[in-house]
Amino acid sequence: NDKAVGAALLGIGSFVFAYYSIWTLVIPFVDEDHPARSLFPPQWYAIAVPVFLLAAGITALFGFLSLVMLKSSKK
Amino acid sequence: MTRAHRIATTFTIAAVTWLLGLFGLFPLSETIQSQIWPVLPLFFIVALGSYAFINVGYNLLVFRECPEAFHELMQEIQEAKHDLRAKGVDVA
Repeated sequence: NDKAVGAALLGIGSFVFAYYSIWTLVIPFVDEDHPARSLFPPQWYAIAVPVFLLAAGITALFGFLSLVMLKSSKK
Repeated sequence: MTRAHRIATTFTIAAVTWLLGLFGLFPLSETIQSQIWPVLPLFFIVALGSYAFINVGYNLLVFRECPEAFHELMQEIQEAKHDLRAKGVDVA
């Protein structure tokens, strides 16, 4: 079962890296009417999605930390 | 120079380089200056995250179980418990 998790992580990591690299580094040089552009959302999302995920992740991290600290100080 | 010093130095140099490029002090083409350069730090964060995923995933995939070592270890644990019990030590 560990192997399945490992394979999934590997696949997701590779896909995200390849897709995001093309999205941010290659697409800006591609003409507006090229069919490849239809595979990628507008550039705005290339910044909005990672920033949102980062903000949500850090919020969750600090939220978890504060919950743990509150619980341990209540004892 | 400690590892932390090296990381901090590399980071500072990269940050200053990026900020200089942001203010137009490098001769960059129009597309690069407006669309690619500002996004570079975010790109590196995403790249770092996906590198971590790939690393963990790959190592999970190729890690070998070694069942022989596992059985040998369980055997040794049994023997050690036996010996200690014989000597009067209270073991599980």
